[in-house]
Amino acid sequence: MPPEAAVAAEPSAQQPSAPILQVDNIHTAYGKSRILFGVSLDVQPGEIVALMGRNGVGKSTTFRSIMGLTPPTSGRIVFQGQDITNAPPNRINRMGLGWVPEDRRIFPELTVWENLDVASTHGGDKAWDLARVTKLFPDLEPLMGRTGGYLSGGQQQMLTIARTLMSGPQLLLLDEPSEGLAPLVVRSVFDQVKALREQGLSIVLAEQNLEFVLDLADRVYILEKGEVRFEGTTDDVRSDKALRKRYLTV
Amino acid sequence: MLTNPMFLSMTILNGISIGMVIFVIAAGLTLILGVLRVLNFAHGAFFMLGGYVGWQVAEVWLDGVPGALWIAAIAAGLVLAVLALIIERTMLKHLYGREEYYQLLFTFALVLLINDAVKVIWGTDILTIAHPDSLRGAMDLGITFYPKYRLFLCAVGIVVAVLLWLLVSKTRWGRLTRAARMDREMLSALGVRVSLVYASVFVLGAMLAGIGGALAAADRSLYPGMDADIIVRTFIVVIIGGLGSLWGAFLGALILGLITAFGTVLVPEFELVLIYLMMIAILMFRPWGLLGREEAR
Repeated sequence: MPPEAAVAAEPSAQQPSAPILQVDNIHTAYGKSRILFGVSLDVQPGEIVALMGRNGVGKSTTFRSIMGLTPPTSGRIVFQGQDITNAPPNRINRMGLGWVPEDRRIFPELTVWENLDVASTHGGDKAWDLARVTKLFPDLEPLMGRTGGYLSGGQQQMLTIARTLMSGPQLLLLDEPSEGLAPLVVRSVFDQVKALREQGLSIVLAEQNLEFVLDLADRVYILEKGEVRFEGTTDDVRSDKALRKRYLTV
Repeated sequence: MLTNPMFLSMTILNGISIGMVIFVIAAGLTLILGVLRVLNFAHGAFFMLGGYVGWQVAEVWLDGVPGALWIAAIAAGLVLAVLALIIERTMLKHLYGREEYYQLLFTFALVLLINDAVKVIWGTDILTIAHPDSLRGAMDLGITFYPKYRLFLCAVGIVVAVLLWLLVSKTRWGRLTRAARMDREMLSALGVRVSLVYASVFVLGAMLAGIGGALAAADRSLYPGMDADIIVRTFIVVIIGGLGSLWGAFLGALILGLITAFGTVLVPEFELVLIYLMMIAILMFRPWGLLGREEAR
C-alpha cells in the first residue's frame, strides 16, 4: 500500500495535491422529483472514498450527476481542474471518469469479449487494454466467447468493472459492487477493488456493506435524503456506534 | 397452371426477385428501427427518390454510356446518404427521446416533401431505366428461360444480406450498433458517441434504399406515389420477420415475394389480401415475428 493513502491529514512531505474530483453543492432532480439537495464531496488522487447511506438517499443519483447522465440543475462538478457539469457522458468518460452502474448493465446479447471491446474507446488512459484488464480479472479469460446475459452475478460484476476499465478511467464510480452477491463472491470483489487501488485508480464507492467499506475506504460520506449528513474518516465511522445506527443500519 | 414446371419455376423466381428488392429496403428499415427505435415512414420515399436519381443519371446525363446503370446506382446511394445525413443531424436527432408520434409525424412529412419534390423535378409521367447491355435478355436455366436482370436482382439481395450480416456481427461498428440497441445510456457512459452510431445507421439504411431504388427502376416503372405501396409491403416484411432482425427481414421478404408472385397468378384480385392473411397467421403464432425476440414489444 502506498503510504500517501493513509495520511491525507498529515501535511508534511505530501505536496498539497489538488482533488481529482470536486462536487460542489449539486442539486439534481428527475423531472419534478428532486433527489439531491446540495451534495458536496471531493476525492484526492489515489483515494477510496465511500458514499454510504440507506437505499434511496441519492448515492446512485450522485453518480449519475457526476457522469452527466442526469446533469444537476445547479452546482458544479470539477474533474482534474475542468468543469464537467454539463458535459455529455461520452466526453466525461473520455476525460477519465469511469462509471460502474449498480445494476451492472452488461450488454446481454454481446459476448464477454464484445462487451469489453465496445468500451475500448481509446479516450482515457490508453494503458488500459485487454491484456491488462484480463490480467487483473483472469477469471474472465475462459469466458470471452460467452454471451453476457448467461453469466453469473459474480461474473457480471467482474465484467462490468473490467468493461469500464477498458475505457481507461483514472477515477472509478463504483455503485454497490457487492449487492446481491454471495458472501464468498463479495470477498473476491473486495480483493478486486483493492487491486484497482494498487493500479493507481481513485475510487468513489457507493456501498451499503459496512465491513466492505471499513476495510477499504479512506474516507466516508454519509447521505440521507439527498444531503451529506456526515463526512469523516473510516475510523470515525468505526468508533461511532450511534452514527452507524442512525444512518446506516436498517 | 402450376403443374407446368416451367411456369412454376418462373413464378418462384418472380417471387424471389420481388422479395429480394423488398429485402434491400426492409434491411435498412429494420436496422433503423432496431437501433434508433424510429419507425421511418419515409423509407419507401427514399427508395423512390433513389429510383428517380438513378433515372436522371442513367437516362439523362449518361444516356448511352455503357455501365450507366451502375454509376447511377452508386450516385443514388450517395445522394440518399448525404440527404439522410442532413436529415438526421439537423432534425431527426432531436426526436429520439420523444414519444413515437413525433417521429411518425416527422417521417410522414418527409414522405409528402419527397413526393412533391419528385413531381416538381421529374413530373408525373411514368419513367423507366433501360437494362444494362450485359444483363439484357434471358438466361437458360434448364427448366425455363428467365430474365437476366431479375436474376441479378436476386443476387443483389443475397449479397446485401451477407454483407450486412458480416458488418453487424463481425465489425466493431456492428458491435457498437448492437450495444446501442441494448443500452444507449451505458454505451455513452463508456465513452462512445452514440449519436454518431445512430447517424451512421440511418445513413446506411437510406443508402441501401437509394441503391435498391435505382436498381429496381430498371425492372419496374417509376411514378410519384409508388412509395406508398412499397412502404406498406416493407413494413409487413419487417413485422413478420421480427423488429430489428436482419435474417427475419430476409425470410419475411422471401415469403412476401412468393405470395405476391403466386397471388398475382392465381387470384389477382386478392393478392394484397393474401399478404395480410399471411401476416395475421404469422403474428397469431409468433406475435414478435419469425426471428424476432420475444421481449421486443
